[in-house]
Amino acid sequence: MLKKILNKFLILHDVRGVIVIRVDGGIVESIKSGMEYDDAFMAAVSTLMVGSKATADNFDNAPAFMVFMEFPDYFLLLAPLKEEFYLLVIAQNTANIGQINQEMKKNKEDLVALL
Amino acid sequence: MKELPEGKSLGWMQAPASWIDSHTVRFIGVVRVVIQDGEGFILIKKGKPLFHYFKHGTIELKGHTALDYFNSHPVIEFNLCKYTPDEFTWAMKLCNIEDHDRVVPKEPAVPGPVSREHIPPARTADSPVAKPAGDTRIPDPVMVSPPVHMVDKRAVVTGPVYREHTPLSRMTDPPVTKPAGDTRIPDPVAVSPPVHTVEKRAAVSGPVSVEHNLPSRTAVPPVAKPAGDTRIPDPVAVSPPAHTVEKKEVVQQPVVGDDPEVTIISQIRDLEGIVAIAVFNDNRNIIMMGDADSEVLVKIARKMLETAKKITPLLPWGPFVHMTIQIPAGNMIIAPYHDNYLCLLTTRTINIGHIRRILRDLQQKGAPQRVS
Repeated sequence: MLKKILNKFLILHDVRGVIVIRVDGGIVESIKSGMEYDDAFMAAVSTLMVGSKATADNFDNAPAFMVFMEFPDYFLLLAPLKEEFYLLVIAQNTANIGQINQEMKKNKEDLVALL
Repeated sequence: MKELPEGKSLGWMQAPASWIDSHTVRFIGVVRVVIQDGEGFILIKKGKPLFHYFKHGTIELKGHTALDYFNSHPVIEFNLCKYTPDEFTWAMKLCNIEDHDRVVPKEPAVPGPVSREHIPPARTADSPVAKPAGDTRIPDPVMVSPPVHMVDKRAVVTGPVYREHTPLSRMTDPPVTKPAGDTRIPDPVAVSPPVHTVEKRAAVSGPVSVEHNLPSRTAVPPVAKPAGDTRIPDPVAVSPPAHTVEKKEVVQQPVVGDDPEVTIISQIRDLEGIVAIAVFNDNRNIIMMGDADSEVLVKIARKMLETAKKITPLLPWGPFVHMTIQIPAGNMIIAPYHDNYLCLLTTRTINIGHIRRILRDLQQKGAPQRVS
């Protein structure tokens, strides 16, 4: 069921992967298209999650946060689902961020219900 | 000291005092400095500091002493305020500086090139200078006797000799006392006539501040170091150098200055939604403008950078272009910027698309390098 919802993101233009990740860096679920999730990639994803959490903890009340990290051809978008869970979208720079955000809003409740 | 004209603020920044000299080549105006509870300024004309002043309570530091005080802080907070020609003329008047583009000291005129480190004989008798209480970073005043042919390899300025050039009369200045307990201010150093010694020091390239003491200082009453200021070192007795030559390693600093880069940074700061902007690297905060606690801001930025540096080599995508963290209060962005990093703090009114556009524009203007 979770994969089915994640697939709604994957079918968006130039989205290459979607991962549900715990705040401690553990992977809950992942799907991909046209890319490989090797060990280095998974380590990078976990590092992004843990590092971003550590950064956000510097702000008052350790708020929920969203992270956008851009590379020359790709970007990573990390958005909160509920306290301990985040959704990571991996996409090419040509992907439409607004569309991804909209899809997140539409599916957040369903995703949270499954976690 | 009368109030100087306000000028047009280009923004508050934090940087070492030496940064100001080397980054204000085209700047005419005043740099307002705030250190702890004290305030001061540096009057600058195209990279040349004409007058240094600092006041903390009733204690006033002028000329070299004020400069020493600024330099005793690794980083100072200051506001660059641009002057119109009229404002600048007025400020010169208030500082008692004659402006003929070539300002000749009232006392013995020094013909020809003047080296930055040319210490006028008068300094032996520097008038006592006080440093702010509790400030231990101020080196104690150094009493230097008339140097002969002191050459500073850092930079030699030909042409105008500024009034800050200490006149011989300063030799008769009364001894300098420093505020009790202030160890930052080095106590007066008695130096006999320099004998062509070579001193190796790191120097900053760029505009040369001809930091001679003002003739007026002759009449400045002895100043005491603020009580409790342990940063001011006590006086050091130095034996007479003759023909001191200062050989200083020249450290090329990127000219960010008043000119293009400071302007670009202050333009970004002025954009709607930008709360603060900083340029930093692994070791220090180079520029800071805006309304935020710079230390906290850069601390968070460094944490983000640490994460970015860990992730980047694990991914086959090349260097990171920027990283943004959004919290309910706003956005925090870091991006490579030349050899350093840029940090932006924005309100939530700015979205990621807007941030990307700003960074793209900035990269086109400044061609920042990327971190791989």
